[in-house]
Amino acid sequence: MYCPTPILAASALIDHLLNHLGWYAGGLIVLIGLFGLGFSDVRRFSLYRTWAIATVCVREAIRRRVLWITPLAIVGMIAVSQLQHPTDEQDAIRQTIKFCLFASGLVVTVTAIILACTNLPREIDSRVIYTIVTKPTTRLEIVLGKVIGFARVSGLILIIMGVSTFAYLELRSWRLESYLRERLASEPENSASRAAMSHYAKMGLLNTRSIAQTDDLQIYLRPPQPGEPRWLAGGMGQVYLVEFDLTEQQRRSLTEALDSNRPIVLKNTMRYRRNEPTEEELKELAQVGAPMEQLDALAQGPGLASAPAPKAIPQIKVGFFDREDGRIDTSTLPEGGNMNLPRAADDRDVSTFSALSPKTVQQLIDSNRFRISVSLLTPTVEYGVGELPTVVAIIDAQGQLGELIEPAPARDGKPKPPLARTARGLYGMQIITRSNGKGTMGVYRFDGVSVGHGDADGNVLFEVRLGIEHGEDREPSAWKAVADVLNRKTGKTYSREIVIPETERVNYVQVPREAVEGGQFDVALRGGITGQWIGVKENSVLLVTANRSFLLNLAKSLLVLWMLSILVVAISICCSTFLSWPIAIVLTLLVLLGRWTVTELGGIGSELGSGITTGLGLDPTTGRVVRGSVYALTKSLDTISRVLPEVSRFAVTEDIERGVSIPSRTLSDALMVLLGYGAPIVVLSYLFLKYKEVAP
Amino acid sequence: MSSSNDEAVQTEHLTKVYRDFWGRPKVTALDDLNLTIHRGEVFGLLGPNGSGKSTTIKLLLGLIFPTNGSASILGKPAGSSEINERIGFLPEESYLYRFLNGEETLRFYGKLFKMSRKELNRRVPALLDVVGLDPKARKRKLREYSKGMARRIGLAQALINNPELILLDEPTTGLDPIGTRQMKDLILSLKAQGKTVLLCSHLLADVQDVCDRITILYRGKMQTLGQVLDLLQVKDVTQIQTRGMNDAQVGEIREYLSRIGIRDATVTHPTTTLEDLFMRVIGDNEQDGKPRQKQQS
Repeated sequence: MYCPTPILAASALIDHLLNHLGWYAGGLIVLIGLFGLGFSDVRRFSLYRTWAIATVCVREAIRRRVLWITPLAIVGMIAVSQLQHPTDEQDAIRQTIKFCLFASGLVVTVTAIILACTNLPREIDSRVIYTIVTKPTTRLEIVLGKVIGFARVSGLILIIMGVSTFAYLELRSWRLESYLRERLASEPENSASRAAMSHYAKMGLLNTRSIAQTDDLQIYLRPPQPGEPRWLAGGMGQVYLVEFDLTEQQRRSLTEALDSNRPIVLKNTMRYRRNEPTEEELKELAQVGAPMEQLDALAQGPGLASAPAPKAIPQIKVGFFDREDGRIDTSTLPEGGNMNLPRAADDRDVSTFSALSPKTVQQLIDSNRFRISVSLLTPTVEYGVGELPTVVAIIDAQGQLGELIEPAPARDGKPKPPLARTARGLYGMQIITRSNGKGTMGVYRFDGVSVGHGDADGNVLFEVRLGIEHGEDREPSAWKAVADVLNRKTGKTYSREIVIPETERVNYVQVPREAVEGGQFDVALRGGITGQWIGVKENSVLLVTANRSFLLNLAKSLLVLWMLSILVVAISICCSTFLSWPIAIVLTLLVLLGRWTVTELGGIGSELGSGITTGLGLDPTTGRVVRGSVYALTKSLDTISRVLPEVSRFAVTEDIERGVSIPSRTLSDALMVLLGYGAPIVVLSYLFLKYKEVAP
Repeated sequence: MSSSNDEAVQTEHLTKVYRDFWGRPKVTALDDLNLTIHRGEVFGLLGPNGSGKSTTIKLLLGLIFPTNGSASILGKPAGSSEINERIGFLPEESYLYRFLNGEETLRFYGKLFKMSRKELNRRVPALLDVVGLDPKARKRKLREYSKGMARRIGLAQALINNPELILLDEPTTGLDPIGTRQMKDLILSLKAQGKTVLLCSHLLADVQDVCDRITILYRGKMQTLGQVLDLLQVKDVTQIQTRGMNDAQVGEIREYLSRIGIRDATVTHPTTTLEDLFMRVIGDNEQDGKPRQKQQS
């Protein structure tokens, strides 16, 4: 960590403490609670007594017929699963899995909250606690006994729900597979859904697999080639983004430059190729008001029949966004940030320089972290963008380019390369295919993937989900895309056509294993039909690396739900040590949902700030204050939420519903949250009970 | 706090003030109690409702914490889980898990004393016999128990660990006269075994029958303390009891007393207590049927 000043070091330490506040607070509570205030009880701790208390909790739950809720939930989940509207057989099974796991999670969580929140207050009210605490039991054993007892009850509920779920899914998939085989026999060979049906019939509907995916999705005009810049399309909504995170040294340099009135400029470097526009493109250029090159009349000659069409002058538009994603005022930039690229031969780098106003620079310094977006405006122009296309430069005393402010460093220490993006549509980023055959493509870069052994035929399977962005009225079979798998080690490309029956429907694409051998490969998705717009997301392309057992996956998901229920029990018992049971239930829910709520609020916080600013038409200064206030509020809520448990770590429904093997990382994450939050909360419960008069 | 081996319970300036939500004093339930209970004695804690008896018991058991002063039990600070190994407590009502049956209840409390399964198999039936719980009732849930049966199982749980000190809060509440007598017999038998009993009651006859020493609390303060016989003795009255005197002999005694100057003497036949009468009647009837099981401890 680079810390030029003690102030920065202190700030980094505070940041570190705030980021790990929950862990430090939890550790301190456990340390003080067990080895300070409660050491005598720790010494006397007996697992035998604790287990006896736990057994009474289990016996109570059974004799009060708490487990009767499970058959009700099973009937409910079977009833609800009959009301679904699946797109196909696999979807039907996945929706059923979702219902079943949702029902299991709901039943176990609600039961755990009610049992654990009401138990201790009821024992105090009925004074049964008199006969427990007057025995050699410590309050630590009482709290732990109850946590273990209700954890056993939750486990019992989950086992019953799990067995019922598995039996029901087996029955349902057996029926659906029979139906599927019948349908497949009568389905025409060229049917859009035949490939998927064959896959289901081959793999079975209750399948689970391990997948590899990447979040490195870039939108390019053509696949990237080594040693070449990345080529982006003009006039198709393409933009590249560069992220900056100013260091203390860079902030100081910029401030000094401002103080000494030295110019600060934005330098954009790229190359371009201009294509001769077709008639259609000429109309489009006129429509967007693109500046055109004036042809020399003499050079054309008076009687030349086929004069070359004028070419467009490449234009770009620069925008600045602060850390809260608010637009930084660029009105002082020439043409509001629009600029023409200088004339140059094709494939030669050209640079543009735009002076930044002191006001803009000050905003960048204040924001510290900011993004620069460069929109590529001109149709018919291809823009070649290198690794370092945009920097902020300080002009030195001699009028030369001085210190360069480069983008924030990536993990390897080099400046982060630009992110190539395009306009977002209803589903995802839009890939456009033009009538001249040109268009954009989504390129997924896979690195270091363990690709597995493939199937018996030596093939590996990709799952591709795409969205239909424009022109839903076409026949389903008319929507097509092409997937090009480029093995970066061998340089070979394997192309496969994909039929898109509808948005979000999974397409199974088989390629030979050699296409992904070595784990270094790109998958480029492009439109297969002229004029269609396809939506892609970061998770649109998945590589199936292995097939796994569904039963094991179900067991894993139930294990995670069990860990969640133990956390719920611990929180409920803690709340019930100092509150009446109805208030304890409310507080438990707040604690459980607090972090998720704050995360959601934080997510909309920046949008809210920008929304208010633009919605009310506030001037830049007021807008900045509003955005800053919203940011500060969400930041403080975020800090508070750090001491609340991260229940999103217990989310398994999505994986198992998608048929994806739950990674062991998910289990360890859930365990960490359980231990990291559950242990301090149990110790807190013990301390509350230790100093509580149980006979008021 | 100083304590010797002879003391089972000792309190020094023990005070409990209940406060309201804002921490302001609401009521002084116990005020400066200084008390010593010796090992092996049956001690009675008397007083009307709200006098501080239950508060004293709760403080000794650590169910509530003193506002001031301190208490020790068997030489250790009151309320510690360590000392609870050696005491038994019967609360004023049977505060037990109503979904367990009699045997399960005793097994559960036995496990809290880390008793092994083998030990519990031996101890639980013996204890149920001691408190006189019908074998048929042992497998029934406590919620189906009568008040007397619940009292008996409550007493059994208090004795599960063979305690040195037993705190009994209103032990005869809800018991019929036979049960009351059995309870008193049991207390005397515990005393005979050298155990200390702290009895808290407002049924004066019960206390009088079994206690060696008593104290009377009123409005949280100790009013009197001493041996039961000493406290009850009327020093200026003399009573002579004998059997087989006829009316003529009674007349001669009256005459003699008059001769020596005693004018307001009463010579009459003594009455028995209602409890004795009840026990005799029920006992006679039971001899016609199955003989009553004698209590053993």
